[in-house]
Amino acid sequence: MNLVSLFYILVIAGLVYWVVTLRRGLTASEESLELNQREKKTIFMFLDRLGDRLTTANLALDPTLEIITEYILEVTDAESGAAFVVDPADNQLVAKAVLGMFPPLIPTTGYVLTKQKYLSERVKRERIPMGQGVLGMAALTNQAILIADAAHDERVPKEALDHMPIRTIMVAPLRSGGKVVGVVAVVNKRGAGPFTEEDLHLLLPLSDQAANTVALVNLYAELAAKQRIEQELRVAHDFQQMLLPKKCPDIPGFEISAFSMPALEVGGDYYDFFFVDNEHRYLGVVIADVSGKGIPGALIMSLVRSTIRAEARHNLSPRDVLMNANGRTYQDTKENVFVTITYGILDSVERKFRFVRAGHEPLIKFRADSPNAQLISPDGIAMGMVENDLFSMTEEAVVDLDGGDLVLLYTDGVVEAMDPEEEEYGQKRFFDFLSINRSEPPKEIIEKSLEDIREFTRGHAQHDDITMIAISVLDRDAQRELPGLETSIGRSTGLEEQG
Amino acid sequence: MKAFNYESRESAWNPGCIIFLLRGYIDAHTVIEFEKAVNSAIDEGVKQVVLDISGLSYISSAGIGAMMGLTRKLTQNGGDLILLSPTPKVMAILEGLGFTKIFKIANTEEEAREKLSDTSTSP
Repeated sequence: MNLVSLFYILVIAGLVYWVVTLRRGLTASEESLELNQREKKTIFMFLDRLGDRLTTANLALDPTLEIITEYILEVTDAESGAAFVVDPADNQLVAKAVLGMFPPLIPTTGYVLTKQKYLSERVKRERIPMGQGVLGMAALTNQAILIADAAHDERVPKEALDHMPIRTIMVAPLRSGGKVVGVVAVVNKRGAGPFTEEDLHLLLPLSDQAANTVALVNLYAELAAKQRIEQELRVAHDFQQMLLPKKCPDIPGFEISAFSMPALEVGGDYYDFFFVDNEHRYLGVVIADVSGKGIPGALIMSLVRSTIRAEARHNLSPRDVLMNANGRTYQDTKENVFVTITYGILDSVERKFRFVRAGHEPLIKFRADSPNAQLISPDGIAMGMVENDLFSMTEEAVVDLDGGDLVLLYTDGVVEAMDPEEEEYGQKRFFDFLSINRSEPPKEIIEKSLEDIREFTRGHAQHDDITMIAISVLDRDAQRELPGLETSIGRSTGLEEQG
Repeated sequence: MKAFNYESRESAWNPGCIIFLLRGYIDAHTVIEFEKAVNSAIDEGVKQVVLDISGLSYISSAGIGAMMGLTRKLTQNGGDLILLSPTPKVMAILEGLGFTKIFKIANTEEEAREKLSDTSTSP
């Protein structure tokens, strides 16, 4: 059961036993806060570990998965665990990392348990078709599976139980770019107890990061030794594209569109959307430009993305979130890499956009009744450059939104696009263009402005990524035509779709 | 291909302070040459660096990152780095990034000298 349904059940019960319910409600929110803290800590420690041990020199699938699995065992307190990836050749799961006494979880006959080493080899030899056993089922259905009492669960093969006790199991799919690329499974918790929903909450964000890492390693593994640098850039590019939202969020009263066009060499832009709260009132909006390029740039982007997402949950202060993220980024980035980022929270009820601008381009706002662009540029320093004592000068701004308003965020690649004479597209032309087209739907605004940039550059090579987010504010009475609350971006708010 | 070149000379007030006159574009490609030039001066014992950027028509984020890296390297060893005479365009880029609060910026050599002596322990 997820936290949202738990909340509703408590509310309904409260109508009858209101005193009791109030107490339970408080307990639930305290627990959820604590859980949130633990999730955050878990992700950060994981990224630290990965950052320490993973460099492009030893970027290979098996050792990477071993690091991840080892960490998952620690966090979930599991006795054994394994990571499997989908072999694209036959769409079957193959074990790549096996730690501890991990049992074969599919029905087989005649195996004899001896030493851990033989058992691991056995597990590594098995190929598991989609849908078979708990592992195949998690991969096929793209759903996590929690089995508290494995001994009495029909999904656990009985012959496996004959050889070793299997008390409790968790399996999570590794999802990347909307696809299942593998599964991770842990078996038996240290001590006697079963795995709980809380353990699952810790496993899921890790499996997310694990999946992204697997995807990166896979892309990297496809490289030939020749032309490695050029190809590295392409890998980084593919990886970055994978991390972008697949579609823009539906949120009542607003229409949102976004686009990112990477340049061939200098990559590093990204944008992101996620709900900050479980009720989907507050939408987090991110646009950023990482100054590094290639694989290091892509890893920093992935790190920033994970950090912001983890920090953003249940935190309504964008400044607070960026301060925490800066603390992380400052430690993890090299001295000459920085990230310009605008992070804001769209309050769909109060209709306000509260944001911070860490060295990023200004926010542009147009009102329906005025052709003049309003540039909003609160003080801020790019992330990853200075420690928080100086970074704390970064200020929040709040933008009031009315029906007909347009808010636009962009990266410098837009205004620095060049024509063959190396003249820049420039802010003036960009703002003039927006002014004329400000009442178009956001998707059209972005498409047309890309056309305008193309027309201006006349085929001159794009030297930086171009990224834009456009948010149109609808009139209040237009809201009913929009779909209701719905998570449109993958696992942004976390766990409800996992069940 | 956008060009980048530089000249360097000792400052009039302190032979241990080198002034680099940078011209053209510093982007992801030319940044390597720029970093190499300043780093080799630092390796030879130079502690104070003035980057005259009045002739820079463009600087990418990679270039700014490199300047930041050099600044840290110098200050860690008791030295310093000053940006001299940025064009309005480069100044606008630095302001947008919030980096006018990180870099020491001077408009004249005299001002650069003063800003250096603020932190310098030896003459």
